[in-house]
Amino acid sequence: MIKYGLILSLLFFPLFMTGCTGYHQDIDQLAIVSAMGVDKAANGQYRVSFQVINSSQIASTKTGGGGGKSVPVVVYTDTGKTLIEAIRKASQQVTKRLYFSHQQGVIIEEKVARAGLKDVFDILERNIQQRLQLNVLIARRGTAEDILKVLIPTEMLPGSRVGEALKTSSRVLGETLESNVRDVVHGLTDDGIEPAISGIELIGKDEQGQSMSNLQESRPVAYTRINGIALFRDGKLQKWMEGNTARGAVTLLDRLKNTVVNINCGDKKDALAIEITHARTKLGADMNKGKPVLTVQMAFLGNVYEADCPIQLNDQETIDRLQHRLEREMKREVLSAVKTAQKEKCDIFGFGETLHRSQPQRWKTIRNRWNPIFSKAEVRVRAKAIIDHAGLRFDPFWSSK
Amino acid sequence: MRQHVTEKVQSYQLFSLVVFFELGTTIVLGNGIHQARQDAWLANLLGVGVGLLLFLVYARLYLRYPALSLTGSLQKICGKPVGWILGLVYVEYFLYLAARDLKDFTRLLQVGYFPLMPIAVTASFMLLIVIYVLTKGLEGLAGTSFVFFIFFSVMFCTTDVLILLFGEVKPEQLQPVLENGWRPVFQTVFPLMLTFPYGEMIAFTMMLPFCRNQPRKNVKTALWGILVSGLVLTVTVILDIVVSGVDISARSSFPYLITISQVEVGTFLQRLDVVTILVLIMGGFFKIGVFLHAAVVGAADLFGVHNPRKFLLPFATVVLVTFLTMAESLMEHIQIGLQIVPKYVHLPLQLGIPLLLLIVDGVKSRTKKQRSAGENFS
Repeated sequence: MIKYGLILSLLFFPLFMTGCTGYHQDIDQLAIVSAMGVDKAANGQYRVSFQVINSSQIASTKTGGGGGKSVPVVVYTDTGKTLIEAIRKASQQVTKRLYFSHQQGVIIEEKVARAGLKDVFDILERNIQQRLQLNVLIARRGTAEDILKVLIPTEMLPGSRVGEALKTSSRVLGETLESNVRDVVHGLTDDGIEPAISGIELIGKDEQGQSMSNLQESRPVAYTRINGIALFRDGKLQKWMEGNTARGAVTLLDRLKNTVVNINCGDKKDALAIEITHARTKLGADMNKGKPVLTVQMAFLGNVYEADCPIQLNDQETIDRLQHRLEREMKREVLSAVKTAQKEKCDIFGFGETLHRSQPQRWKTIRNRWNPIFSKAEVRVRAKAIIDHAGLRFDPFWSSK
Repeated sequence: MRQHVTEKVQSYQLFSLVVFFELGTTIVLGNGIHQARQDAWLANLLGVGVGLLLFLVYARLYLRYPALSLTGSLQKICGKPVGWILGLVYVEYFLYLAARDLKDFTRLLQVGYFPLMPIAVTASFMLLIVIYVLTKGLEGLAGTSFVFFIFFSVMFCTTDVLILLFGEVKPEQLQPVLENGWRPVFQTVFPLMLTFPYGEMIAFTMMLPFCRNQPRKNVKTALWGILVSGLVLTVTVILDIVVSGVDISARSSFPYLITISQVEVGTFLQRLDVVTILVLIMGGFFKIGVFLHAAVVGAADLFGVHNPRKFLLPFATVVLVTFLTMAESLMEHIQIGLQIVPKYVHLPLQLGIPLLLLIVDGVKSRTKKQRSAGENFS
């Protein structure tokens, strides 16, 4: 019996050694793409850029310690009427076959997004090398190509940084969204919901950012920044949301992981910072006498992170007051996000989808004119916040004496 | 119509063979999502019920003549010439189904994994393995199925748990329930789901007589197999919907692949896509195996050949040629499979003839009884 068990378990191992039959390629013959960018070229065609990992460089710096001599990534660009045409044409420049399975992000230029995402998204879900979890970003300032060309001192692979940066900023700041291909396709195809995608912008002198000298500055002359959330309607970019409004949108989408909210402390404006560690949002939609009513229910759990004013934090009454203020502040942000979306007739939050799910029959009668209906809908927001601790101190030193 | 030698097939082996046969390629195709959308799980549940009822028809036939396979009982009930010709039709039907499954299997493999590998190569390798196992008879096929069944159960449960724990599961995607009423659900079950995969159980009428000499127990085992596979299909369809969403699943050539590929446990356990391929290979293997075996045994019975193995190689060649010539593209293949075959091939052969057989048999035995009763009185 033990013998058979051993034989069986031995048979199990070859499963991990199958390699990539059918691609006829070993790993050293593949140009591994870490990120892809889509721009609009002057002649109306698409300009597709790939950031390809310079594998020899990565290997040598890893073992040698210290920075290498040549750049860690190479960016190739070519144009075509379809994306795949551009990709295949780029093979005239790349010596190896482009391999997309390890891509970390795809950046789409704002111009392309304004013209319509539907034109460029099919290949991202149809091709077997693409994955649904691939991050999507919109290039706000600068072209996607320029953003891909920027080298960043702390990161070996700027392309994978795109994904990481998005993740980090979404999880500690809460003003950006980790949208992946699946989310965007969902927004493009489903009734009653539109896509929302975060933006990435290039700051500084992009010419210098492309060379190794950018890696030798402690303050890089060029860098990228994840910023803002783009609203879409029918797959076309309409408007950007930023700052607190963007955070309101993230809250509404129930994607808020962690953030810090400033509230007033007595007369001192924005002197108290509350860290929200848990957030939960539920959306509802109902028709009341032919008029839609959108409801939002939110719950937050937070703690006092910074208090720059004299305040009695060891008193539950004070805490109650702070909770109220936090609720008010979050309501304000959420309302501002809904108002912006309503003004642009972009239901990125999926209120329509909620209505579709709860009242499928009624939805059928209004689905075609949902966007205008949504823009005129009444919004009711309810929030409940709990602040459960204040870090290592109760009262701040302001309160002593 | 000769008496068969029973092979040593245990009930648990029969059970696993039935489960694999039913799951087959169906599990990766996301059964019914395209037609019933978010209600596909309801359609699947309904489908199992109908499938069980359908199998009771075959079981009734089998219990009437426990020693005879379908080709045998056909001749017994309809008489030699008609029954023999119908038997031949069934043999060809099984061969056609084997070729269809081979096509399902290789085409998906090509689209998903081996874009540059000629499909004839993949298909030939598959057939070679099937032939090898079938030289060991039903015993070999059923025995293999049990070994794989253990492997499959562990793998299926683990990946499903991983999907639930680490995938982005949105249960609200199952709503609204019955958006367009029961109609689309019924239309999915009948004729599509009734015939594929449940009606294909008719191939087992060629095997049950060879199993152990406990007809009632065999039927019970097969029924359990159908039930379990139906539940597995339902669970899979639900996972497809809550993880990938209805729209993406409905437009995918194999939704299960998309669902599984979304499992990401940290940065180290990713790309479990290979699970899909293993499920596909196992399912395809047993499906082709069962159909080829049914055809071979049927032919041996019809032509009075003692050793059915003689038919293996020529029949496998026929399957390969059919496979290569049957459809130009995956779309044509699927279109034929969804629109033409269920109505004009599956329904008469899976439902029509067996029901007719039961009726004729009932009438015959009643008149016989009446005649013998009348004789007693006179």
